[in-house]
Amino acid sequence: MADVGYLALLISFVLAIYTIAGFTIYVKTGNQKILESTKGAVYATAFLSTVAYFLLTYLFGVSDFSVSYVWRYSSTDLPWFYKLTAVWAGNDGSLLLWFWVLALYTAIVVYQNKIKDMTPYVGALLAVNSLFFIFVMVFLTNPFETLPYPQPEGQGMNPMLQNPGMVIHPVTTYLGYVGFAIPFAYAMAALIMKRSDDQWIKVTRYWTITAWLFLSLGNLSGAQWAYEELGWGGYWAWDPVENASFMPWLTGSAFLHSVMIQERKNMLKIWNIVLIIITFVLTLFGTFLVRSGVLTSVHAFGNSDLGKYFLAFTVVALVGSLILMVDRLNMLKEDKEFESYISKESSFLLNNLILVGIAFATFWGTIFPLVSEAVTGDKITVSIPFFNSVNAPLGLVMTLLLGICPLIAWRKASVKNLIENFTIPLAIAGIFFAGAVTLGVLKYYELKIYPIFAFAIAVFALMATVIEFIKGTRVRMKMTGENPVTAFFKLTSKNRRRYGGYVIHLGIIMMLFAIIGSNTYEMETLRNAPINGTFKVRDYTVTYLNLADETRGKNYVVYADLSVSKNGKFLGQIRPERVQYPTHPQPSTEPDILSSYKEDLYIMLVGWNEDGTATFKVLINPLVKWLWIGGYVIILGTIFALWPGKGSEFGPKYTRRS
Amino acid sequence: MRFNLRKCALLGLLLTLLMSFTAGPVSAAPVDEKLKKEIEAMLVCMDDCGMIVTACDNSTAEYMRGILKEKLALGMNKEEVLKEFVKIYGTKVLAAPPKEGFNIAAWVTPFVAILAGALIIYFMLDKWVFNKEDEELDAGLQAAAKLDRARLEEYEDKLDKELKKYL
Repeated sequence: MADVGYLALLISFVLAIYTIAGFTIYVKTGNQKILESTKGAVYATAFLSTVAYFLLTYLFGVSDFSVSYVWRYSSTDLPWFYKLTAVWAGNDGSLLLWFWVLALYTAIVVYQNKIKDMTPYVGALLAVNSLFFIFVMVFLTNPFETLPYPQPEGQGMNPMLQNPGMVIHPVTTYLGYVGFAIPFAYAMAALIMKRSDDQWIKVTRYWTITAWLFLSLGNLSGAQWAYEELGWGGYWAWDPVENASFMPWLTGSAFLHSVMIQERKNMLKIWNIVLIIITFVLTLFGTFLVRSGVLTSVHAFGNSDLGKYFLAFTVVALVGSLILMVDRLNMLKEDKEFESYISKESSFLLNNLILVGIAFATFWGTIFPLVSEAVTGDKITVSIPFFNSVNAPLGLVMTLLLGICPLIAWRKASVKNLIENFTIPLAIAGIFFAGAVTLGVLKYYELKIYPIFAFAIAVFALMATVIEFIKGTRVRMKMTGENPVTAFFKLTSKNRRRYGGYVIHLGIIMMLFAIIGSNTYEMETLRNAPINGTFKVRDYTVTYLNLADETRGKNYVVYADLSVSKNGKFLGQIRPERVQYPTHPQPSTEPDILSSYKEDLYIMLVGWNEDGTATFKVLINPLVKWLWIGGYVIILGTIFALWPGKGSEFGPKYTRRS
Repeated sequence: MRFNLRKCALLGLLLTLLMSFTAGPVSAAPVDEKLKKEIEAMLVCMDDCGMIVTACDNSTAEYMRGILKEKLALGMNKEEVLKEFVKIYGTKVLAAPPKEGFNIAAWVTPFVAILAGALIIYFMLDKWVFNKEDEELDAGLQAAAKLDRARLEEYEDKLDKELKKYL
């Protein structure tokens, strides 16, 4: 079976070369037979990648420990569900997953054939991308490599990865990463073909937003996994690998906004090309970081020789695409006029500046240990305090823009327009700020000005977005005489792209509330208690009921049962655990969480004595639930905006020709 | 209580010993817990796990927490404790680069880059708006001869209606 898998990869390698050659020959000669044959090669590659992927899954399913990769990442006692997901638990399989997704995406693009004369260029560029990944698997790190002697038992999967969050996180992240290859390929194809129109942007809109959505989900599911599984009470550690998936998300977000200016005003063509190049290259940079071992990371696949190949491919992609862009600069002529300093267009420019600025700050912080070591010879660390200090003010400006952008009209905003639109959200944010400060001064809670200010900005953004819905509904009611529900429904459904975007903004704002709250008002304490003892943490009363142990498969688990009540009202029973995996030297802390819309009570079992007395680490994390709810709202908003049909069309052009 | 006493006690003993050992002989002395947490958040666990000490629950982090508690119990302030850690582990123990020497570049560069970006946007915007005003002036002179005020208003009215469709 393993040989069949390897053979599938080997044939895919040949087919990828054939695809590049075939499309190139077609472009030169226009030979239809070659074109059809090349398309066949693309579909065959997609089929073979599927075969290879499912064969590896099968090998995990039957615990075939003659295959090195299966032996390294599985064991007979691994639940079947995790056996299926173990395929991407390590480097080789994750590369296969990447290639599989890329091959399927390429087949879809070629099958859709949205811009007929561009498809061969796009197909060839995507095949170059595939070729690199197949090359790595065929010649450097074969997922189907067999051991000289089959092993009776596998080494087992990293216990940290045995969590549902880790099932969703890698797949969604990869779907996002690979998805950005499509708009990149179209952009490059447009440059090669010397086409300066925005057709490539329109055609790739679904791909770009879908990639962005998956990357959002990837980041969010990763955060949820870290929160529930890693047992440190946080969800984002600014780890280099986390940063690697955050950076393309930021530049992708900037791209999604700036293409609107190209659509509407025929401007920012060069900037959009730059953004999609950066976004794509950052996805490759992420794979380099994970595999190179140049930076310390919780998520890395460890040091391997692969890093230099990924770095080389990343550099080639960056330099090649930039050279192409510079060569075509005179072709990318664009209109150069804004009607006013204050308009939605100019607010988008600022939004791009901040999004790219945060991406740059994150990139700079990620690579700074290498820069510093190269310059000074000293090893330094750049971690949470740096990223929080640098990115928090930028994030606040971003939140402010999130509120300002919807309130400003396209083309030109008058002073009257600004006063009309800004008064209510500003007033509500002001009242919130004053109220919160007053309550703080009156000692109802700990007064912290900076977080209250941040919350007030988020309130402003929230109100600005909500008011957009209300205002639109009222205008529609006035114009059509419809009742509020019908007017709201028709307003949003007929402008899905716009209001879907606002729903996404609402999701982001919910997440911002969670981020501000959980980072500034979190509370942590250590508590000791005997069995049947009770301790209080803020309004919570926790009764330690029982300490017990059990063997789950090969894992030894010690757990404590705790009963939690708040202000006399029983909330529930929770069970934090300490798990000793035979394949892992350190026992793993499995927290248990009682979650509410206001805050999470997060308890970990830290230690215990023979008499049953135990030590618990208790955290109260405010508003964290809104992080996950915000994520769901983003998904809903994206699906709403993407749903085909009337209402999802592009906006009108506002140029001097229209 | 259901309990595999031997196994559980062994694991518990290990954890408790680790905690009590790292707490050291001065563990009874009072330390400012808030300050301790603050300093923990400024230190990185030195076993290459990449996590900050507050977040990490492995033995190295536990050991480092012990040192921290000990230093605070001796009456050291934040700066002194951090210096002690740098003495033991080097600068890499700090979770953020110190704001001195070349490392200032880490803190300043992002803001300098954004400021440069803001200036570029300002000058471009200035140029674009100027282009528009210039063009409007030319177009206005020509149009003035052709369009009377009433027709212009009619045109603006139509434009507003069109725009409303998209607002």
